[in-house]
Amino acid sequence: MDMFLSGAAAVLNPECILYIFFGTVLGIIFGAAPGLNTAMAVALCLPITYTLSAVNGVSMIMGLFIGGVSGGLITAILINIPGTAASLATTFDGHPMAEKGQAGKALGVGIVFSFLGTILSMFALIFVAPLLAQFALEFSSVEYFAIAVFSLTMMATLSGDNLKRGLMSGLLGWVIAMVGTSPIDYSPRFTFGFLSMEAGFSMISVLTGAFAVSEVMKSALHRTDLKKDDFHDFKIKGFGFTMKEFVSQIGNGIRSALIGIAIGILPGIGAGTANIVAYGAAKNSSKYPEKFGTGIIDGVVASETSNNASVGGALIPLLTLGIPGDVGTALMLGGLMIHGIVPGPLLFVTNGELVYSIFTALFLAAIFMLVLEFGGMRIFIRILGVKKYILMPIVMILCCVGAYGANNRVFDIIWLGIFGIIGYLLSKADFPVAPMIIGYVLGPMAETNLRRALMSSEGSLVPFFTSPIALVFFALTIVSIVMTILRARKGAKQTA
Amino acid sequence: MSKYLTRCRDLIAAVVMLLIAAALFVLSFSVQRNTVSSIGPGFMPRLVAVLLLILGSLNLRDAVKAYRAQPAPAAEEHAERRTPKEFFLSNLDWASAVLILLYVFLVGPLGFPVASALYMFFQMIVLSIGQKRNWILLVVLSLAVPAAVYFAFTKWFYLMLPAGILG
Repeated sequence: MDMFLSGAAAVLNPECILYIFFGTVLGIIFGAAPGLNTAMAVALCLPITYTLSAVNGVSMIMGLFIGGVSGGLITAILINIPGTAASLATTFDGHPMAEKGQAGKALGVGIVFSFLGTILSMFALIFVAPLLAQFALEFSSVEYFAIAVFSLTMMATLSGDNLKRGLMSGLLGWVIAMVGTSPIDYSPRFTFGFLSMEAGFSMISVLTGAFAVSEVMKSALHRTDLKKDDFHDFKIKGFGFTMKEFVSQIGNGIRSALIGIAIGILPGIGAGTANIVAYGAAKNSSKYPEKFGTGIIDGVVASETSNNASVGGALIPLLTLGIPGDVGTALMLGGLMIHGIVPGPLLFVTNGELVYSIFTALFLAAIFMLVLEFGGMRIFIRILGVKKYILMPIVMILCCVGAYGANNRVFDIIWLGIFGIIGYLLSKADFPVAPMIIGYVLGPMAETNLRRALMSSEGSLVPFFTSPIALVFFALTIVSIVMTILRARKGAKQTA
Repeated sequence: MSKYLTRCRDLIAAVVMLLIAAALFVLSFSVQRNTVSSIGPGFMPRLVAVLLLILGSLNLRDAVKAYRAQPAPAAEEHAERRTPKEFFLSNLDWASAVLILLYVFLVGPLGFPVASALYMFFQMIVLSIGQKRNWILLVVLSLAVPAAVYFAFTKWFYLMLPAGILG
């Protein structure tokens, strides 16, 4: 309890609150605008966070994520384009509602349930994370290796319909992470004699290169400018919906939140999957499934509750085990590491206050999101009209500042550009880029723990088969691989 | 892009991936061992290389199959020439890639403010081709944004961005 109070106190000061506010605003804008993503928003903010205290920096990033996941609903409802994959299912019913003249109601429902989804997942985080961390304290490198291997199989779920290419992209990410000195014995690997390569590539260069810089190139061909006239007009009175409508959605909201939390916890999938699954579940368990897609609030509730709930869920493995679930959390991991914070069970012991600061920041970000989206909707629509040809070059130069700031090396700026081009080449050749990030982050974790475990067992493989937890994860790995292969076969048969 | 070009591209991508895997496999043998342990620093690179080789071969097989399965491109399609303007417009992404590369390599020698101003100006032109643009706004933004970013970070956040020729 003491920790909770002092953690909360660290956030509740005007400076930190301002950073969260700023983060949420930026998150909403980047989440709402098609062609801009949360990775870019984080890239823009990283240079600022370098100079902030850990609490302020991390709090701002929390604002970015909550805003980023929720912001997509604005464009999804008002112009039928999801700002991010997290709001794809919101377009199914949100836009038909807008066409029926219920845009205000759709927005109101979406915003309120985004808020509730965040809050529910925050409670899950507060209760589950410390318990899991306690449990994970017992883990040795054997268990960590098993968890890393299991999480690596999740590259497959991020691969979309091309499994082979997805896995190759993941392995390529792992190769990128191998450049530099090896774990344990610090042998230089693939540095080609360059001293500057020995520290390896900075995580910021790789992540913002592949996800922000490559978008600058993409925007040259795919123009996604929005005009003010594209947006549906709307009116919101109060929350935009009645108490009766709210009560009718409580069950749907809770189910969708639970789906979001569970999907968030699983490595490899996040808000982008949660909204689709929750929408499907809401439709299947509805008394009037035929009405889905025609513009009913149930669809908006399912999508928007679950995508925000997945944020809290994704933070659970990130904070307790240091395992990022998707690109967003991988960036968050990068942001934490800049501040010298290494997520893992020890974080709860050595830096418990910070964990509670994160919880508090999440809560504040959710409130800001609620207030901003209700009060500032028209301002956001104006901002979304800013031309991409102005925005994208600014994104690029700020990415540069971000890459440079991590180690004060021009080397990192150069590789930022190169990884941008690699990311673009991969997506041009239909290789999904998301698995690359998972390979990049989790590959080294698997190698380090495998070698550490073998050192302490003096080369014996026996400990890998005597640890019950490791065995569970190895079994899950096999299940995951078999399921992936079966699914791929089924998919191939269907297309044949 | 025509279907024919897509197949060619898949084929090229598959071959490039295989080459990367092969290079990795060969290079993994030259990683120095500093300690005596059952698994050295070359083990994981080799394992990943083998996995990449397997997946890469399967992917190449798919690409070859797809390439063979499609009918040969009609003569007209081959003969069809695009005007230089069309060619340029369909390759604006690569023009941006060139600008980005120039930019990241010039940040060191020219310094952040100068390199960023040049980059912003040309990148805005490339991204706004075919749209009405306000030239005064382009010039003002190209000068003001890099200057503002540079001063904000060096003066407030003490991040010493490379000053280059202005330093």
